[in-house]
Amino acid sequence: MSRRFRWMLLSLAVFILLPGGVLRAQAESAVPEDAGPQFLLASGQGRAPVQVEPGRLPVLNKRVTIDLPDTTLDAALGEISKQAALRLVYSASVVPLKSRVSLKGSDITVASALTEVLRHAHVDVVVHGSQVVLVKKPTQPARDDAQQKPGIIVGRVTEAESGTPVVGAQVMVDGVGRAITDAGGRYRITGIAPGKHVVGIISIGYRGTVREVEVGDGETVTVDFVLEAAPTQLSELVVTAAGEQRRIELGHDVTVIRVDSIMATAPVTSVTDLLEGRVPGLVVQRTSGAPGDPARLRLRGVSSPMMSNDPIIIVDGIRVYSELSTARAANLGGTGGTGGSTYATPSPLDYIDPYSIEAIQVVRGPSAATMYGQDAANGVIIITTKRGRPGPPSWRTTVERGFTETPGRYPDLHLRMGRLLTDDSRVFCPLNNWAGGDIFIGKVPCQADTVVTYQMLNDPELTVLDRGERTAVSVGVSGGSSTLTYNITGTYMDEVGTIKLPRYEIMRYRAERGIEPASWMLRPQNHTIWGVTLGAMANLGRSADLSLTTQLTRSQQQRSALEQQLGTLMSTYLDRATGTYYEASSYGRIQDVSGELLDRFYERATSNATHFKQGLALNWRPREWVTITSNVGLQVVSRADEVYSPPGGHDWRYQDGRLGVGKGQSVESSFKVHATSQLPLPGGFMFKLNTGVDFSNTREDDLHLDVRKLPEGMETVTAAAEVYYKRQHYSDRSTFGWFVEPGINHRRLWISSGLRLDGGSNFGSRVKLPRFPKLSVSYLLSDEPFFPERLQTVVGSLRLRAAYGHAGRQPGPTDRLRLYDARTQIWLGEGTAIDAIQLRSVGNSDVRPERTKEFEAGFDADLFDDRVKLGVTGYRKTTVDALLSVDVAPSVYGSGVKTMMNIGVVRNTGFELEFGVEPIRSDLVTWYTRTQLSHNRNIVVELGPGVEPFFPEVNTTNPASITSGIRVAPGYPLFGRWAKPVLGYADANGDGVLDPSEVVLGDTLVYVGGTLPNYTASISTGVSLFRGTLAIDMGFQYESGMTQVNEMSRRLAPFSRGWNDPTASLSEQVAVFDLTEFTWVQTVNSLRFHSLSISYQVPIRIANRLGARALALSVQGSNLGLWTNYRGMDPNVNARVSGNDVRDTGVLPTPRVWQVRLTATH
Amino acid sequence: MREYMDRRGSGPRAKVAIASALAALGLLLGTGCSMDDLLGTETLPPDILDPAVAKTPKGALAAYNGALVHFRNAFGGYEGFVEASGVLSDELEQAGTNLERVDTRVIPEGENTASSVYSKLHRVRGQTAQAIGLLKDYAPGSDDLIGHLYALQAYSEIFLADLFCSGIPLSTLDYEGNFTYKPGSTTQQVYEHAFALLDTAVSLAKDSVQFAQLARLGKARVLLALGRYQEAASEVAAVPDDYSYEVRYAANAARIKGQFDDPQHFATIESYRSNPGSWKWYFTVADREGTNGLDYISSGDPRTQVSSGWGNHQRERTIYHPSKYPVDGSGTIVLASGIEARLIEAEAALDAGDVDLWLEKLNHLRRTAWTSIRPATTGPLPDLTDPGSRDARIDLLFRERAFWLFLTGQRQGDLRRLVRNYGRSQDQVYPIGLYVQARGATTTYGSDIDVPVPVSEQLTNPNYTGCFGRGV
Repeated sequence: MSRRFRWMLLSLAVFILLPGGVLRAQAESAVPEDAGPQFLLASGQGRAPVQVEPGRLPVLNKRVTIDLPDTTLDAALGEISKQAALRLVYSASVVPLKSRVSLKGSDITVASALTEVLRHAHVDVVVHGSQVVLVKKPTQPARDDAQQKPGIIVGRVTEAESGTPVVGAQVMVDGVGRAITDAGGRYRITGIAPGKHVVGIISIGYRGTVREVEVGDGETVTVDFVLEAAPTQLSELVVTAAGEQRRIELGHDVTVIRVDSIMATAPVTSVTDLLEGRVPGLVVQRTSGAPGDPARLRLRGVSSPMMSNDPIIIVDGIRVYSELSTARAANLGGTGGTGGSTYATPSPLDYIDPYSIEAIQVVRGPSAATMYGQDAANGVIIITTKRGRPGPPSWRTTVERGFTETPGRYPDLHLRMGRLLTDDSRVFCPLNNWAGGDIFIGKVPCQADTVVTYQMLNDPELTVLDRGERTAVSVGVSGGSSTLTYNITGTYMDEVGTIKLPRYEIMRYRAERGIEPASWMLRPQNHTIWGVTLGAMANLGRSADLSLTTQLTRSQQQRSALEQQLGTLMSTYLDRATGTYYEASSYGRIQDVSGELLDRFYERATSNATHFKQGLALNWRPREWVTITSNVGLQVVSRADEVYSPPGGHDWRYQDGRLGVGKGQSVESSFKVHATSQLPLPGGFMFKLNTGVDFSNTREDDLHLDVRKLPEGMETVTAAAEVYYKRQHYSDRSTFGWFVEPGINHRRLWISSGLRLDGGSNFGSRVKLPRFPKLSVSYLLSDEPFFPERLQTVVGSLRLRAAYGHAGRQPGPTDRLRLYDARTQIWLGEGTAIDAIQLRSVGNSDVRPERTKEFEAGFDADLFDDRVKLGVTGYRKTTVDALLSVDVAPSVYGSGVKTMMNIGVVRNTGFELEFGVEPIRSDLVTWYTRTQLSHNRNIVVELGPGVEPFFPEVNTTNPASITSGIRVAPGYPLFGRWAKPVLGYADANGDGVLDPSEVVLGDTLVYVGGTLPNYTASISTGVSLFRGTLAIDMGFQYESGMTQVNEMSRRLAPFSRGWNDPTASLSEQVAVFDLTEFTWVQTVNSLRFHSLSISYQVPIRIANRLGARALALSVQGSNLGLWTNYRGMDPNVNARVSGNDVRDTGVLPTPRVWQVRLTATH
Repeated sequence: MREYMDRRGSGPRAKVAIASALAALGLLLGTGCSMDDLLGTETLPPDILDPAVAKTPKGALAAYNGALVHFRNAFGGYEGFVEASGVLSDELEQAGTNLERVDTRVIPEGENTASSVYSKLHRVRGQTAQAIGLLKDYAPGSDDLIGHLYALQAYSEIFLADLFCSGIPLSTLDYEGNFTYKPGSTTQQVYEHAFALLDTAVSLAKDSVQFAQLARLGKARVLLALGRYQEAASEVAAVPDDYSYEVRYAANAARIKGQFDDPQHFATIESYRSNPGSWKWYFTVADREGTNGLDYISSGDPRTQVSSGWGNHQRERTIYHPSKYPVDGSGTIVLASGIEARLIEAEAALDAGDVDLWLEKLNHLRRTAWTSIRPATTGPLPDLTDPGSRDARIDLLFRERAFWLFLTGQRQGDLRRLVRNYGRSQDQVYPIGLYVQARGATTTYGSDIDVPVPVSEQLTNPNYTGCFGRGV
């Protein structure tokens, strides 16, 4: 073991053990005198609370400083509550709130403060978890009066949002726990003395509430409670790399998505759906509208010119596979040498069953992600699965059924038909009266006679678009006891996509091949996913608990190249007389594309993935002030992909049939152990220390095989097939990190710092561990004594926060090395074949991890009694030592040799705003609106010496003739779009028709726009009527500032009015001659009516009659409207499977979905 | 409270538990796992060799083989030197649009014309440097192989100097070190650098006649380029008539699919015949190309036999295939030979004014070397007679060189020597006049007699500023 690690261990031990002694010293002098209320600890299970020393309860040991010479008890309690971030529950009928009290104390405990102000209030203090309830002191035993009979209190406790019963809630009468609600949320308390009593409810996760009732002689009184879930508050616990922390302690913003409430109202089928529109600063770029297709996720812009810009994913404390936009995201059977299409496959993120998730947290940058290690520079998505709550088994069944369709109509084509002057054959005869059958045969004069309006995709007989179907069933059960809780969720989803083989093609297939098309050809798009998730937590005595997560998912996706022909089909004319598909080529000429197009109708791609994840978390609290947590995780994704073309195609490549087979496996293993300890210091300071180590390893192993000459009817690799291409991909990457995160809290101020040392796998070389520091500050300004009193009526809380941190991305494990390729069996003409090796890469022994630094600052405010919530965050994220794979000059070792170098600086700046308002809040009507707005500005600050601006993606391979592409250049956004501009045009020869020579293109490329939106926003609003019985929710999404190539404009230019109508203006003609994409690039603004849900809670009695405890029915729709300047079909479906370009190639737009969801609780 | 803390916090059981946890952590980090073990850094992707594996005698030999494979591709493979230099000179015409700029001699700077041959030749330089380093360190007694590699490195530089403009960067890739970007070198500097490499090759390969003769012929070729004819003749005096260094190519059937090191030579059209949709040979043997071109076809000379019949391409021309190279891509291309040695001696004799010796050398080949002609022919070839004037003798000498060394990568260097050393204008030796393009369009030949260094070099090599000059 190296000295470095010995030191780490030593420091770990010291940090854990040191605080103990000091804590004891502090605790001994912290015992308050009990001069007023008694302090009781709720013991649950119907037993009466027990009296305790207040010093034993951390919640009463919090420190406050109060100077209230003469104020109401109500104000005093409010002040104590604020300073201690304490949830005090009390009723005006129990506590004399208007009585006057005085209190002055500096750095005193909450117990002392409460003792003082409640001295004459005749109440006791009952502590239940983090809640503190003030209850009336027990009255003297009732007079033994033979005329009085004890009464009964009964009732039912339900959840406000869903109407479902709250199981396991503790019901207290006059502060004494008397009952626990049953599986139906019901309780019954007997032996109640006649008279007035206070009934209170406490349940974890809900706002506590009390109500005064009067029980008559022998009377049975019904008291129902509707509990509201505890809203997102500063005291909310959020998951961090060092375990759970209160949000108020964090200097950075974090988005928490409570999944259950969303699943009840929104048409969600994947984790990606859950994230979209709910995380400020997150851009979701979809690859197509096909079932199961993945999306590219970008948090706070893109930072790395070369490495992955995907966030990492943590599920229940363990890291899972998260490569969303690398080449491996494509079908493993289709990326070889067959020349077949590339197909996206479902995202690893979407293997996780959304019904199994309790909450998702998103931390958006290095300021928050430092402790997650050097791969976390793009942010972290933290998923917590359900663990269940104590109580009898509670079953929840959800059934969904709906349909999908492609929204909108494709634009009509204008075709100027005519005849060739040479042989009188029928041709396209565009405005210039030149036609031709092949680009190489020059101009052939034609005579136009008719103009046809046409669109194949709108023709019922010819279109490949149809209505799709969607079905989902999810069954969950949860429950448990005080020692073991569990949740099991099983979900099945199936979706048939909107693509079909049109009737016309079915008939053609029969005629050409003499057989019926296979069933998969008729409806080639299908995605089925099923999975089971088990989450359980066991208490191992008083000082430890163990959590277990097991997840098994099976995803089966099928699709075909037919869907990729939409771009071609929407700009193709089918001459039904001859069965010929014609497409326009450059300058208005046409070409027969029948063979190529039809071959692509019958290429099938399947991707099957089995995903298994096992996570284990052990929390051990050997002492009151220290918790040690260990996580061990293993995730295996096994993939079996295929791309298959049956024999009989038109083109020679498809004639013999071919099959690409890809078998792949990724294994993600992780281990983490960390300790958290706290130490009270003099003067009201609290020292907190987190320290730990973690390790993660990702292995990928893929094998690809392409075979041709498949015998008729064979769809597997057989001996008769000819192996055309074979390849193995293997990758093994690891990171190891040690982190220490000391923090200090003083009253309303929390300061946290941290340092992480990180190691990455670097074959054969030892490198200095990069250090990633962080610092964050959170300050609850509104609780300061100097905070203006007049503002306190408006401002419930106001917190300022700031955070700074580093994170990185490691280069590949072999990037430092000079490597050789093995070339075996090389024939050199000297008899038998020999072995040879050749240089593969020159390596760079100095390459370091890319480093991203981020500073963010902002504030959170709760206004008007929590009716208005406001959060504002600004950030500046700078990536230095950006990793670039730089071309080595060919004079070193020929062309195509690259070396990884730390060159370049990329910066993202922006802001995020969250605004929530609840204008109406009552039992009858509640109306809420939430808005998120984010802005990002991305720029490449500089490239290193000797590195010229470069094009990661171009539309030509010759640097001298690039006309457009994605470019990395200083002063412009990373992956900006560049093109040679159209400088002008004029009808020089006066014939009214433009030709290529009359259009002037610029010589140099100019910046056209970025490939990510500048602004994104989402608005959701909902109305809840009759205590949640009927709810209507709507969501809208807005994006602006992103550019993309509008393939539709390019493809339709030859069929535009400008090129087929003699009266068209020159400006309408010019797009035909723009070969630089300049005029086809659009800066896109769009507003989408993203979702609509109407939910109805079936009355309990009807639900009971149907055998359910609660029943909810909702009608949901998504993608219901689109307002945009974009001339294509869908501006937000644009991402390639991998890489960074955005380009609408005419892929399937996002479908419109309508579905019905029924949720029953048993 | 004291009782509480004592009970909870400092009992021996708690201490043991904490110590156990830390011990387990320590065990993980320290005893069983080094950092490298932990990070799993000892696994490499498939097809990648651990650099340590190359550091063995077998590995060094494999690196040597790798250099031979690269040289084979750079010399006579698709888009190699024989092809590109043949197109720029009068040996080949392009039949499509592949190297139209080279064929028409309109090759402006700032583009990537002929970048493939430029890349391949430099790859030979880089690979030979690696293999030389490995052989020196890990395969003692491999001097002859090292000499062979120096010779191939030098030939690559000769080809660069023959084909490209003055101003060729000879960047270096050190063995186990970094690469160093170099500025451009003049054509003469490149030749001189190659000469130095060949000197080393001769001294190292003294035990291998085959490699030593190759190096000597290389030196002579450089000396011819530098106009030092007598020294060139001395270098090759010991090279026998029947010496031949041949680079061998395999038929299509031997091709290892999926690998880039295609062992077929540049003139294969077999793949096109069997599969018209695939790659085909885009060239034709030229005949009197651009007025000044030699009559390779119409002369009927057995040394430049052709066959035809594989259709036309975009220039609507009949494609003539050089019969000396099998259509399936197999066969050999001669890099250096005794024939070349005698031709060098003849040129030295002419330079010395010894016309009889000059003529004797040429006729000696015609009488004896005809047996090496492929396809086989009857012989001997008839003797030549003295044309009477110096210019005519030079023309005859270079014609004989062109026919004996047809499509072996010599003609481009010869044409540039005629301009540089013999005072001919480029319009006298290179194709000129009307040029018929694809689909019937016409243009005229340009004035370039070399190829500029591809722009990709300028974009990536901070020390490179472009050609010093063209046509020198």
